[in-house]
Amino acid sequence: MKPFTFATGIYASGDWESASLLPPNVIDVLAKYTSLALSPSGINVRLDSDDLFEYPFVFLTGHLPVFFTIAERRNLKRYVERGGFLFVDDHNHDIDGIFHHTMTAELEKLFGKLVQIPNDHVLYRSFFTFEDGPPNTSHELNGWGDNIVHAHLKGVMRDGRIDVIYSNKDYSSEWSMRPNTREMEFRGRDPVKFGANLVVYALTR
Amino acid sequence: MTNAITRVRRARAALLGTVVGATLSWGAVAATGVIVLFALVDLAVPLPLGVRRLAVPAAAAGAMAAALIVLWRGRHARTLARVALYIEERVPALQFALATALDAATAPGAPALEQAVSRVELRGALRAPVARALSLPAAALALGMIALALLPGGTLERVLHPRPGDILLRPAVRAPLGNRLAAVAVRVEPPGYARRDARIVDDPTSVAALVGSRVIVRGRGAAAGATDSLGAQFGEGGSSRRDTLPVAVAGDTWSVAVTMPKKPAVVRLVDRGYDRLLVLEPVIDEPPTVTLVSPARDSVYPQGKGRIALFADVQDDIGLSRVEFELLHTTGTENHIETKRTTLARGGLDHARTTTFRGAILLDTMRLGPGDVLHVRAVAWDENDVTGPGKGESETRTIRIFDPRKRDTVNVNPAAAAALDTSILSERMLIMRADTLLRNKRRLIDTTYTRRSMDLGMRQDALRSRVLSIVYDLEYVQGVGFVGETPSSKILKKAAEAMLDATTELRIAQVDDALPHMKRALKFLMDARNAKRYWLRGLLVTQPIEIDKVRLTGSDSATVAPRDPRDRGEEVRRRLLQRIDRALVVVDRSPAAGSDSLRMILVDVLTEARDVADPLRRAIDAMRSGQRATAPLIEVRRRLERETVTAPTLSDWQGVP
Repeated sequence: MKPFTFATGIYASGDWESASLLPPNVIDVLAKYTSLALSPSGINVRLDSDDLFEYPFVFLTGHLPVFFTIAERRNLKRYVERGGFLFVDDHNHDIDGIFHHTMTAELEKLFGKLVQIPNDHVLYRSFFTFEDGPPNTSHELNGWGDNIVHAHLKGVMRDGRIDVIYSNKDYSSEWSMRPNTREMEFRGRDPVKFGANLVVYALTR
Repeated sequence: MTNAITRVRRARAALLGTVVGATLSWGAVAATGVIVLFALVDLAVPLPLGVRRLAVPAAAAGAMAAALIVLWRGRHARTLARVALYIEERVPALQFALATALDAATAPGAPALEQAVSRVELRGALRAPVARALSLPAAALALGMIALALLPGGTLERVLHPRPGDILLRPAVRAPLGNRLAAVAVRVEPPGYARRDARIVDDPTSVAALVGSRVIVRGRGAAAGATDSLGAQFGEGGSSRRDTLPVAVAGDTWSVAVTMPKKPAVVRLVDRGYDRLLVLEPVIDEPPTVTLVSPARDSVYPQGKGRIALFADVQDDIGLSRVEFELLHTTGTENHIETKRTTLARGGLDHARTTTFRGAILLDTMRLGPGDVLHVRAVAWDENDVTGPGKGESETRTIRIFDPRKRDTVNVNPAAAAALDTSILSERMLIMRADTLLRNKRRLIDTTYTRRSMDLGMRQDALRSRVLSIVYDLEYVQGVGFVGETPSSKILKKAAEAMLDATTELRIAQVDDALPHMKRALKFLMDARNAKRYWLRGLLVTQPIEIDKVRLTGSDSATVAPRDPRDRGEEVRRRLLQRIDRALVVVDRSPAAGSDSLRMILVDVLTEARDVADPLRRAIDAMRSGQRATAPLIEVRRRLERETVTAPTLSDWQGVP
């Protein structure tokens, strides 16, 4: 049986490698709470390579402007149309939100307008239950440029199923700075738990 | 007394005149006949525009053919002797005196023949045949003219001046009690920005036009009661909303105008108990295609200095408005990133469909620091002021300024040292010469072969000395001394060792043994050149997790929600096929209703299964014209029943236990 491998997408522009600690933390959560067969470490995969199709879940992040190459666009569209799941997180928490502007433009160019994912979507009950929708982070500021912390994630949906999730919560920072186990016990919550929902939803949708 | 020759000449002139007259008359008769024929056929069955455009050339060809035949038959009227014989034939009393008189005009006895000829009245002999030759075509021409005059109004114009939209001139269209919707002409006026001429389509099933085009549907019919009985509705595919369109009536002509929507739609025209559907197929104005030719690829600059030439190819399907280079300058760290957008070399294009566009980035003026990133792309807009303007963007090139702090994560491709490149060339040349020497070994005497091999050995040794001097330059700094090995110097030393082995073998004429060492040396030299490239933005360390140690040690509990089964992807096509099947059942009972149902399905097909639109449209057209629609309908079915293609590009991942 082929185990689940957490794949981080490599793209030519920007800084795709900016959240190096996120993959091990998500894998750790998956191991702790689920019985998924797992690869112990994540993998980095180029968006313009056929290797992309080996991974059912691909994570994209960054701070810098993102402009996909023609090959990346073509491959990414094919990947999503053929069942791949894309989780994009805005690691840039500056006010001008350049990652948000450029990445959403790229995604909308490929998949059409991003829509709000309703907070009662099955995504939020696919493993753990998140009654209020996406968990907030201490990092989200104003990536969308309208001075509010957003209550919804956005995404690309087909017949109610999510193909692409676009987050401006900066899970990249929140999950990279995951506290140790004792601290989590003290706080009473593990911030990376939503990562389990994302992966389980992606694999079972 | 007029002599015989003069009389024959007069007769010839009369006959020639008759031939000319008959030629013109029969030509006119033929032309009129062809026109009348086309008009009568068109009256019975409307001829396509292309066929009607052949009517005038066919009439001209017919006239020409008839004239040539008449001229050919009257060709003997040019010759005096044949004219004389023609007269002799009709006046036997001459007893060949006329023909003989012509032949013997200068011979003795001619006066007697002249007297014999003068006794006969020649003019009377020709009167009857001339009258017959002219009156017959004149009568035929008169009949043709009468036929033309009797043709219903508009029929002749459709044949003589065929043009799109003249279907409304057909008399059947204007019948007092006829269906006012039986024939329509649709005028399509593209939006102004397209700068295209309007066009007219006769009696279409569907109309394809740019979004925003003005579509005017025109028809004719009895004016009485038209205002009350005519109506029009408009609805987009997938929407239950129906808008009423105003119908303008002027005399016996009515018209409905609608703007081409963004989505496929249908216009329903109603007149008393009649109705008619017209499908509107929007044509999307494609955004410009922009290709950034220079810079050709992403790169890293050691410093923010120099000039980057920009060059882009731009094209559009309708017309370009403007183009510019867009530059994003990003600076700062991940905690505070600032991005500044500037535009370079903006230019207007005034409806050009293709252009090349140039500019330059002057890095010195931008105050770039280490780690700064420039994104550059070309952006073009078309002139679409209806749904646009359409914006096309090129690929974006990323120019990074080298940051020594991120040395291991930056892809730097500095120019290789010139001396090293020369060494590579020399080593490659030595290998080629050694190869040649080895191949020519049999043709050379031993002493020559040995001498040449030793010569190569000397050159190999000289090259090794040059490589060692580069190593020295890399490891020793003037005034400081030895500063340590560099990545390049390490590899160059290996190259020098391989060269030493090659030199040894060449000096004892063992060329075949020397070659592997020489090739090894070349490989090291090339590695040394590449050693200055700093690889790569892909070295992100992946930390492993001890799965077994942490497996299911979490304290929180999860409750997984139930899921609905997913619809199969081909449901849409299956539903369309079911609708078509139902429509075809109706076709047997009521062809018109079935055809209308297929038109409504066409609107959805244009959105949901566009590959089926063409055969479906052909099927509808075939039904309308009373032809068999089996072939296109089979094609429709085949396309809709097509199996979903499984692409073998996604892994057969099985992560769920």
